[in-house]
Amino acid sequence: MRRRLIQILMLCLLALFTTGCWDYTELELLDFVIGAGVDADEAGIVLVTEMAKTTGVGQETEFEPVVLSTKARTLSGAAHSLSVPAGMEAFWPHTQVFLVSEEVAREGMMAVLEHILRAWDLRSTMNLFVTKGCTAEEVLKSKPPLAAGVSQHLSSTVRLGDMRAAFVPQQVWQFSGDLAALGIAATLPVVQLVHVTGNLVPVVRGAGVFKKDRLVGWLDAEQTQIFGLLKGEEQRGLFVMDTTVEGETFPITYEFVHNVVEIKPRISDGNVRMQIKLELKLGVVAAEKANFLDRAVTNTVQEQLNRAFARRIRELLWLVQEEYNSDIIGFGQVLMRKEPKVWRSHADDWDTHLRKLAADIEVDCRIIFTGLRAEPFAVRN
Amino acid sequence: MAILVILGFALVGTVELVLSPRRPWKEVAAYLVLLAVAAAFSVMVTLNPDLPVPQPLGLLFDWLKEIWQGGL
Amino acid sequence: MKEHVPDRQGIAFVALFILGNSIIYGLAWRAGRDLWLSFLVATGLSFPLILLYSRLHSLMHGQVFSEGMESLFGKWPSRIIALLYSGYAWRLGSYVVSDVTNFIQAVSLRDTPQFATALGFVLLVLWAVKEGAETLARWSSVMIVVVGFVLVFTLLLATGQVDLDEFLPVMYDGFGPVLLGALQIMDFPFLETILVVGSIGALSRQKASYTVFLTGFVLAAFFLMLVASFSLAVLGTEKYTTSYYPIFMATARIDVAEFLTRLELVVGVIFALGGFLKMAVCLLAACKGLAHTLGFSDYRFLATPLVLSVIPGARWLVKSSMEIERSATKVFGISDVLFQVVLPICLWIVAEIRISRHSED
Repeated sequence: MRRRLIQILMLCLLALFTTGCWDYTELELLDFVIGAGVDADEAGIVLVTEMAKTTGVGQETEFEPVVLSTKARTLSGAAHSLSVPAGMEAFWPHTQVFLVSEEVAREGMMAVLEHILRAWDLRSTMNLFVTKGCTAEEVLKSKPPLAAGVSQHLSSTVRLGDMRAAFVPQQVWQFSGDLAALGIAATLPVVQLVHVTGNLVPVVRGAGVFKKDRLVGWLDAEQTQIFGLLKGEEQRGLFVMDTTVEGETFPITYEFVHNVVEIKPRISDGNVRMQIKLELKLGVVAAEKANFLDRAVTNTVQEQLNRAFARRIRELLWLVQEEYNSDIIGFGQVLMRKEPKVWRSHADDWDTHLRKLAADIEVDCRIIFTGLRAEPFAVRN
Repeated sequence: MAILVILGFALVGTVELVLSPRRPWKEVAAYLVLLAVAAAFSVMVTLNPDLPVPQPLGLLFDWLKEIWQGGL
Repeated sequence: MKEHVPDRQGIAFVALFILGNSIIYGLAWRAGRDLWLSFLVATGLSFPLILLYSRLHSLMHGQVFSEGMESLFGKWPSRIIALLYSGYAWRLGSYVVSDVTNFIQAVSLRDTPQFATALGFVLLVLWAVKEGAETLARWSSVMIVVVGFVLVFTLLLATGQVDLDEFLPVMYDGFGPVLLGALQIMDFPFLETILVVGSIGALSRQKASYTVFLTGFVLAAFFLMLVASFSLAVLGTEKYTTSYYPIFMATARIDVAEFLTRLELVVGVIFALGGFLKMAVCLLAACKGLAHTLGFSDYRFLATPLVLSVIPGARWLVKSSMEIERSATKVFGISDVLFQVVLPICLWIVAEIRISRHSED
């Protein structure tokens, strides 16, 4: 009996420990950060956050985005002092997008990234962007036409990314991985503000090219498309190209169906050449005149596509190798993995070698479907 | 805090002694001594969190380090 | 009190002990992308020592720990050895406690004092130690299934994130880092298995020691290699080598159709289960050793003071999370080499000589 009594007492005592009072958080005191951005400031940095303000209860709960900003010398300091204007504890684990303004990115990403990587409450699957021609604050304060907030707008754009083929999404882990790895440089997708029926709307398009952790230049949407193909990113978008069929030139709209890239180093007499083999399977979405049942037509179209893509790849490579001298495609990494001995002798001076790196480009475009019709629609008198 | 720790140990000791079905004096003595040592140790750590950790093998380690210059 | 542990439970016991708290650390990070090689090398190098541990264990077959020790090494030498190992086990137990509490603080309960989380674990451990190795072995045989299933399931979900190119080029920096990595994992956790010798008690047959130790060890080594390689392939070399808890970060990346995410919690649970067993085994060994030193045949009454003292012990030995990382991934610790390699070899030689003399008599 006595034993039983003591057991019961012990259980009651143990119950005291199960409440977890130390890390107890009151939900009403939390405010969810759904997106954040960083701008430069003389004193340090400005952290801009989009937070979700909840109104109503139960079924009628609605989220309304509220933009707040704080200044501090470091990002962590700014993140911490966010509670002051918010009057609540900022809850970070649900942050979906993180914007870095052009100015900050040109100064170096470490000031931002260091905090993101070290903090326990920021997830490495957050999407990173760099803004062009506007500050992060302007982007976060803009009004997307349909989404409930800028963060939601941007993250749904990324989810649609493979439909657009105009940018290469980068999550924190990808970006920081590229910064840390040998023989590869990082990029970030670009956010710009574009006028749409009188409103400024954030649009994701193009890429910012980094060298080490500093932004050094831009790729436009067309170049980014090629960049994405060379990175082996799955692309599902449309593009229009003037195509000559039977002596007549007219635009044809193509669709990416499947893309594979293979980059291999070839060593001859100590010189490195990169062999780039790009295989594209395309569909034709609209073609005014071409009859794709005719093999000859398909062949000439494919030929023209091959040449066009090879030219665009060459242009991109020139930009990357000469203009920016930043190995965003990761030739160095390929070399290291496939030919470690050669890489060892090139590693110290890779920037110089990158300039001289020759590339053999082979493009193989195949048209594999033409919508519901093979022949063009004929209009008769 | 130190008093709380001592009280905690005393409580645990009493409860366990009361509950134990048989109590040969040798075991009880050893138990009490150990519990006292544990309590004293806890109090020392509580009062001085930077209590140095003895390194009985430290000399040997230093000597090995001198031989092995590779740095680990 | 004689213990009886069936082979299957013994294997689970050994395997879970090795997996225990080690699974979340950046094991063999010195080897970088060659860590899988390190695991193979470490397994190869540890194998003879594990064999030696099993031999020591099988020599004590059919006897309680204190009887066995006494018959092998004589009365006083055996007491000294037991005291040394008891100290080592207690120290390791304290480390495991601080591993677990630091991890919990780092990833979720930031404001909870480590004392509070430690107390929860330690009370359970106290109970487990009093119940003895038999109960723990039974518990392990159940839990290893849970741990194994969860691990395999998580790895399967994450296959989409794995980039096998991360392992290339092989041995770019030569064999040096591979060896250092191998030494790291031998020190912790492979050779800590020596403590199981003192804690587990009688198995079904004399030969069973070999089956239990070797199978358990190989199983755990294989799982650890799988988990570490997987984390590296997901995170990349740089992240793996600089994170405190790589597997935790790797599973955080799992995203099944934006529906199944935040699986890192699961790893935390595995760590807690393994950490619990490891603490219990360490303290079981510490209690048995101390009891033998003091000349008692039963160890249970010593459990409370010893187990409770690991809470201040953890705080005493480890003062920051950097220290944990250093101790978990050091290349070699002088005391570890002594207790895991030098002493066991000496003990084995002495034991073999004494046994052969006995049989001559």
